Amino acid sequence: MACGVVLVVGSGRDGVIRAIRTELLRRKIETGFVDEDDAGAYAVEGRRSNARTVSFDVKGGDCVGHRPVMGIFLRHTHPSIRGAPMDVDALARLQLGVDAAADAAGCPVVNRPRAAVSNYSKFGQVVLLARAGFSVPRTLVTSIPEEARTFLERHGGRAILKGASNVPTLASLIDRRWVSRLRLVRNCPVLLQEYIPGDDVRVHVIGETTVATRLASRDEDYRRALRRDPTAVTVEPTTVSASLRSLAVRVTRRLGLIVAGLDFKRTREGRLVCLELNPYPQFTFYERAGGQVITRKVVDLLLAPRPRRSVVFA
Amino acid sequence: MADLLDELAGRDPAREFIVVGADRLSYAETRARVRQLAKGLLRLGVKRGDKARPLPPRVNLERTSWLTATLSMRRTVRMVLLIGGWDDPLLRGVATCLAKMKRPTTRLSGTGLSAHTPFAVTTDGRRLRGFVRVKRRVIDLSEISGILLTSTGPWRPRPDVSVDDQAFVFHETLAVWWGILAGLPARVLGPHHVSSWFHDPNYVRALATDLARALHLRDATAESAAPGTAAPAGSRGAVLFVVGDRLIPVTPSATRFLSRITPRRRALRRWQSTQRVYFARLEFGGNDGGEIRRLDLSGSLDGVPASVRAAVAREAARWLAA
Repeated sequence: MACGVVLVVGSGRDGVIRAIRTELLRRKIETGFVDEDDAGAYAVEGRRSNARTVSFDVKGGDCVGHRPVMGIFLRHTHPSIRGAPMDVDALARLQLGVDAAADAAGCPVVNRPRAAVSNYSKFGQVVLLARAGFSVPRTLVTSIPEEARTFLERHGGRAILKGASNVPTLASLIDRRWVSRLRLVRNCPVLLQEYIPGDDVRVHVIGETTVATRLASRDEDYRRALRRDPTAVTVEPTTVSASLRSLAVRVTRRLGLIVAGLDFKRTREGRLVCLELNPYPQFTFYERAGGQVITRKVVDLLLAPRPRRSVVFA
Repeated sequence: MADLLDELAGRDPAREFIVVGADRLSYAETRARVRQLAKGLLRLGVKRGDKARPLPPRVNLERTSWLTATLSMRRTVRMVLLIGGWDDPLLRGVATCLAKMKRPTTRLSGTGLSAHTPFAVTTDGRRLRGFVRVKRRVIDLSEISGILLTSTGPWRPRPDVSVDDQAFVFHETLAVWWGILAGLPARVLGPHHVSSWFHDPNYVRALATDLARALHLRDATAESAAPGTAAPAGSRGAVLFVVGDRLIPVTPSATRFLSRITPRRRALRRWQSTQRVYFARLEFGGNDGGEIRRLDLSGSLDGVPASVRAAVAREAARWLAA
């Protein structure tokens, strides 16, 4: 791609960012990398090109601020998921600048930050997914212990407890032994969902295509099982119905995203119940463990179609 | 009376309330029956102003039903929940208008919302059901016709508890309320106040971009987000308020923009219902008057003439009570 660069923004230690950069390098595509681990070393400057257009120059590292950007891959890091202390103010400034540039860019952006807001509220997302046509689990949000207990009893003494926002939390299967601890929900609202036994299915939407992966684990959250033992989860390609694939693509597009990771539970009857939609999916794990091609398809999306002129330069 | 029943049922749900012969109902049982019947009446189309009353009982056995039916009639007048501080001019104005309309209201402070207001909301994917307890009163979400959410003030963490823990609780609470307001069948003015707590300018920019597209205007809102860019040149901006389904001009020049928007009114309504934006302050500009410069979802009334403030409050109250 001689006419421009692909801008990659995120932490240099993030496996997804590394995979995208490696694939771009393999294809000999010029890349501008903004390493958020060193946020203070980068700057985004806006300038008025003419009465109607504002352009953005991304500078720092290998970004020189004058090569037109033809595709942007974004996966922001968060101060809370870093071990080392970081300049939080510099990171916030950089991310705001990059987001403004990404939202203004006419080129493909995976994903535009403005399209990812549904992720803020898991409860809101359940409502949204249900309205879109997905089957969803019965869900309760509450700060009243008695209501949490009643929900637990109503669902056979078992329920899934997880955080209500975009802050990463691991889902826990709770049962009647947890009843006394439910008094703590007075201090912080929780999200409880009916427990659906069965395998997890992750469906990645990449543009118009989908990649489905089955995950079988003894733990209710396979991510916890993986932390204990990387071999404790069976990961393999699977298939989902054409109607569900098409619905997943439609919902992703309607939200303004071009890549998404949808989490499902497959019930004993084979029905897929949608749990949530991730606008910034960690797809390299599924690719590696399930032997499926995802990174290449994402890079394909970043490279085409090319806009006539760019407003972002790196 | 219906409000008193709520309060008593919240305080002592098992206590006997109605005793007619062998027929006995506790506060909680009466409240449940009253709500069920009120919902049925609402579904039948009974609304405020309709003349209806239960037939007087002829035998003792009917008396409990008659009492619950009488209370249910009161319940068919749905309330407006006001969330925010009395210092907010919009909230004050709307509360005054609703009082004139004899419409029941309950106020919940913004900090109360973000701290320890007990609530339980459940969904099975089709319907959203639940309640919130405000000052010992249990408010069923189905009884709310509208919610006004105004500025909530800054977050003030307690000094005796870990700030990180408090920040997490704050974030989780806002996430829950954002989801509830998005899914609620009631009319909500200002739900985006919750999203503004997330400090995400991308969200407002996205709404502005969609609006510009719907109205066939240029989106100049991104320019303010571009670091280092000067204010856009051109004519002085025109300001108008979007309140419910009405547009209220603030500056005299806004009338010109109103005529520009009028042919696209249907597209504007579609944008409003998709994005659930029923309260906003819009600034237009550009030499040809064809650009949106600012979308302010907080709908600040700062610098707005008193007559426009009154019109905005009146319109907001009308829309919430409808």
